[in-house]
Amino acid sequence: MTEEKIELSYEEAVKELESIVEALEADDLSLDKSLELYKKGHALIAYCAETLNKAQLQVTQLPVEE
Amino acid sequence: MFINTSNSIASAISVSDMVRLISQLFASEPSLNDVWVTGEISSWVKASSGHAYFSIKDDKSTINCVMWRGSLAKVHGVNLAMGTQINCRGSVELYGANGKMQLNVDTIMPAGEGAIYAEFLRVKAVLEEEGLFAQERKRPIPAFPNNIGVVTSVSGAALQDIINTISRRNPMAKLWLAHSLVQGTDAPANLVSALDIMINSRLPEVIIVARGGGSMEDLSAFNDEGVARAIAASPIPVITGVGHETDTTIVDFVSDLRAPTPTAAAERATTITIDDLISNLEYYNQTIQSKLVGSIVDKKNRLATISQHLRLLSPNRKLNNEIQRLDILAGALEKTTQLKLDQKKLALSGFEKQLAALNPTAVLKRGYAIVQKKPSGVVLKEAESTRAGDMLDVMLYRGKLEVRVENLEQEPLHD
Repeated sequence: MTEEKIELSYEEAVKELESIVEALEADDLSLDKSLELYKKGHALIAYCAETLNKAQLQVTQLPVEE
Repeated sequence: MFINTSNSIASAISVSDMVRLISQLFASEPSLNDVWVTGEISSWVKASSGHAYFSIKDDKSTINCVMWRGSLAKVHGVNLAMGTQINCRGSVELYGANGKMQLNVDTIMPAGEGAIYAEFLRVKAVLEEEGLFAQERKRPIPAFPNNIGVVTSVSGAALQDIINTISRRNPMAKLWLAHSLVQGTDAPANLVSALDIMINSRLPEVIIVARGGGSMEDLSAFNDEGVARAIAASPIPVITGVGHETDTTIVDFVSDLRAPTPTAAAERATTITIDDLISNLEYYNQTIQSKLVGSIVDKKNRLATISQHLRLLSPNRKLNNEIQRLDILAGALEKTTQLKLDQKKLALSGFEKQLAALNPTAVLKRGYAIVQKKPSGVVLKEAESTRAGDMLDVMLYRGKLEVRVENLEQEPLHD
């Protein structure tokens, strides 16, 4: 399987994960499709975990009139 | 009216004129009108008319004061008694009847610590009356904001506490900071303008207004009516975290959420933490894994069901059924055949006996003989069937005679 590059925000990734879980819950999936979704879900989880691990608080000061 | 005065005895003026003159002088001097004077109440008399006659003093001087009933009724939060430090606003005048100067007071406010507290109570009462503390005004704080605004001093400990707390709990967030003085006379205006800048940036989903601990006077900017109104008017939810746990400031009443400290405010702005997200991911991980396994198990089960179904429908089974049916039929057949056979056997043995009885040899044994004509072998039953000279075979019990007919003799029938 080719490694797909994920370009999503964390929220979008989680939203997609949720839809994958939902799809896997529906039992009318073919085995191939289930496996595909599972792989995709796994990749998303890894991506999200990495995003969380790399997260660092950004502090920006707004200009204030003196 | 203008009164002429001179040094001449001849032009002496009346006492009333003199009092009037002085009164005019007082009235025309701005620094003696609507002026605030601070001092300690040194005497206090409330007349039956409702007016108050009192005096205030400092360590060197005393001044008499009067306050009319109407103004007195508006004074709140001040202990009107000897020894109380007050600020009073009024105008200096001369009371004609006794020629004594007095301060006609229209407002009394507490002075010192009492003043701060009284102002606190006043602002609180006013804002509460307007409904700005109402619970239904409080908006929910977003649980996982991406953008958090902070209004505080860049040099304060509060900011460090907030940054530490948020970067520990939600490092995914962006923190927007608007610096403001949080102490001193300029602090209220500064806070209002910093809050304004923060709101106008439209960046944050929640704003923290914070300051570290201090004396009640240090925190007074957060009791300022203008600051409180600015927070109440914010279109973005505001969390206040001012002072220590025990401090409550006016802004705490109008904010959407009151946190006891800056750190607590930062915690309230990060209800959902990165740890929550991580355990959520673990949940997703387990869920999709179990869903996949579940789906495979389901498919296996379905396969098993189908194969069982198939087995039920298989021609083999049908064949076996047929074989079984055949077996049953065969059994039945055998049974009936055997029965018939037995009946036949039974019948046969009857015949045997009969046959045995009819066995001609048995008759020969008893001395009878069978005579057959030669060469046809026809068994002779009557003599007339022969003539003299015919050759006959005579069968005895044992052996056979070959004889020639000599003579024929008619005999009557035996039966």
